[in-house]
Amino acid sequence: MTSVIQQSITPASNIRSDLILQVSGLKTSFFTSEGIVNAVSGIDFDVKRGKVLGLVGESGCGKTVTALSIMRLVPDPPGRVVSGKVTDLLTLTEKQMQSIRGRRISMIFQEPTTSLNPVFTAGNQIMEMLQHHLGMDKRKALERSIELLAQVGIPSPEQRVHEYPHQLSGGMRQRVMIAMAISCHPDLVIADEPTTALDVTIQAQILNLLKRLREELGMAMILISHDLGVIAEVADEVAIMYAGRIVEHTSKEELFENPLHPYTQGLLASLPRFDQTGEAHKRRERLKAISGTVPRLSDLPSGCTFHPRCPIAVEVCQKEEPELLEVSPNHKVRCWLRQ
Amino acid sequence: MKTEMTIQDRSSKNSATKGPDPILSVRHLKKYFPVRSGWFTQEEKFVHAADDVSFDIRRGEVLGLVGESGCGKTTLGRLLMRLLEPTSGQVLFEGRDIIQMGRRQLRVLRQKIQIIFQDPYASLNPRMTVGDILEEPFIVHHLEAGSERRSKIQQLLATVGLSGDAISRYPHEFSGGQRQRIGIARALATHPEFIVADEPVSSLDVSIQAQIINLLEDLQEEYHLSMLFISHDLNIVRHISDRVAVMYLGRIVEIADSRELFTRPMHPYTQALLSAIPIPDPKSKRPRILLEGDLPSPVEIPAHCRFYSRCPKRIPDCLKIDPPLYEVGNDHQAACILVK
Repeated sequence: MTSVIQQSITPASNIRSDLILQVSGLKTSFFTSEGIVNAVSGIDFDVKRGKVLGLVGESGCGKTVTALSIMRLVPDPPGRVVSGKVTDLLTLTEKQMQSIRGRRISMIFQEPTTSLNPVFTAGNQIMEMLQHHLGMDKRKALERSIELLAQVGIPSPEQRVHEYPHQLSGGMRQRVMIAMAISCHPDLVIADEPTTALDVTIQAQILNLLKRLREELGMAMILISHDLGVIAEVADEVAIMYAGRIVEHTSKEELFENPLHPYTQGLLASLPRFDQTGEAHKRRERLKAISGTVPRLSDLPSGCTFHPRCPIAVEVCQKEEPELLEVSPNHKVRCWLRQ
Repeated sequence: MKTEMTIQDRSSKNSATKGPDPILSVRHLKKYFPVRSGWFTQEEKFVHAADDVSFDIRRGEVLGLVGESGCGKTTLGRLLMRLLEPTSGQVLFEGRDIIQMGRRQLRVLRQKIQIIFQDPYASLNPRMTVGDILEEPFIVHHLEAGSERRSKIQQLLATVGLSGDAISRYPHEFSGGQRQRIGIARALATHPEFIVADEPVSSLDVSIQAQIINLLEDLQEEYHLSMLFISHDLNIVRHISDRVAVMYLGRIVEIADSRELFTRPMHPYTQALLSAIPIPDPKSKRPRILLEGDLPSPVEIPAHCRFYSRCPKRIPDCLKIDPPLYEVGNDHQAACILVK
């Protein structure tokens, strides 16, 4: 246990300060037979030590591609990081990158069922990490795996460590994924929709676990989710993505209290709302939908990509794309009308 | 066992006599799917997908059905359409048992009851144009023909908010939300009185979900539809439903008026389920009841209360009875001995 922690507090020189990760101008494209699809078109954000950044958006907005770009796991071909910087990860050799993945930055995927290897036991998969990255011997790795399973709340871990993924329930598989992700005590965990495939009571368990581990281990996290409820619970800062761009970025409190981008406002307004007593519950009160549909990335509208769906769009929105600008301290918005 | 049955009989009769005119009554509905436990074992085991379910849906109301995956929501929806044959029990539609109906009667009935499926990608034939897809119900049920049929199809498209030129296009040309509109148009083609909507928005993006929910509400009002709205999203169910039923391991454990259920949940499972909903408001400080463990196997159903293994409020007496639905308030029933 102590050795693991000691190793992680002698960080690589580049991640010394409070900033764990700096993404700037990241652009990732897919070169398909139907043309170039800019899945991520120039995004910037920082991840601070011990903080949780929520990345929110609808399907196809580039959340997952952002995560894969950071990990340098974008399938190539057809995809490629075209430009931008992710600290200095993009300049590392593949070999160097392998010692980052799982060790300094690890990932929790949406589907625990498909992201665990079905022919290895839960223990094998955690042990592999420990043996590869931390050079533990087999006996020690097994011991540590059992500790990790206990830490993520799996009952009778001595027994579960020898079980295969199909013998575990969905919630337990996700716990195994989390155990793997924290096994080398990384500086940053990227959790891509970690609870989307789970039932609501199990989701509550996993969210609690993530919050607890974050406090215990002080790791930073990028939490990718489409669920604003999950974000409200776990994140410190939130970046809202639309069509491959960040359209709003601020603290969680500010975002929910004072959303500025019309898309963020639309997302929040489209949720059914009830006050604590339930008295506001009026049936037949229509939800405020955002009109239209999410644009195809291969065929984006001109100007601001949100303008065809925007209730307050003006002429300039059709012609020129606004930049992500800081309109008040720590509150950035990409909208002509908020500048 | 015998005494329990009579208690349950009584409580289901109570619910039947209550409230105005049920369009659909379900009585002691059971569906057991056989599973093979091993290659050499003789013993037959069953998944108890619906295990003695009784409830009513009143004319013009939306009954929400919530529960976690594998609890039997979808099976129940399909049993009501008789897309699955139940093991036993009755489904009375306007007083007639659809389980006993022959094929011809069933075909007539299916004009009146329709279903909207969860996955708009899998439920539309990719090789048929939207026009063909929407014409199918007219062909099957021998409804309007010729130009009248064509204008009906145009009307349907307009009703669900699609433009008329959709008729000659294929499903893959549409987004998920638009596809779900096509699925809704198809369900409306036969002028149904009752619709089962099985997770109709769960595969859609948040900004599109609200559009479809609004459409369903408008149509429900306009056509005076009765609806069983199946979903695992409790906020959406709360928004759209008049009454809500909560299902756990093949059994309805609580049923009540929507506002009542969400503000005064009585069953410990409902309480935990509601407390687990993530609220999109960082300031909300709500105590959360964390359930231990996972949903137990629907094969090994205990003889006592099926929630016992995860219940935070369990007492030794819970092991003595498989609780039926007790009246616990005005039009409010819960299957828990603690609130009896």
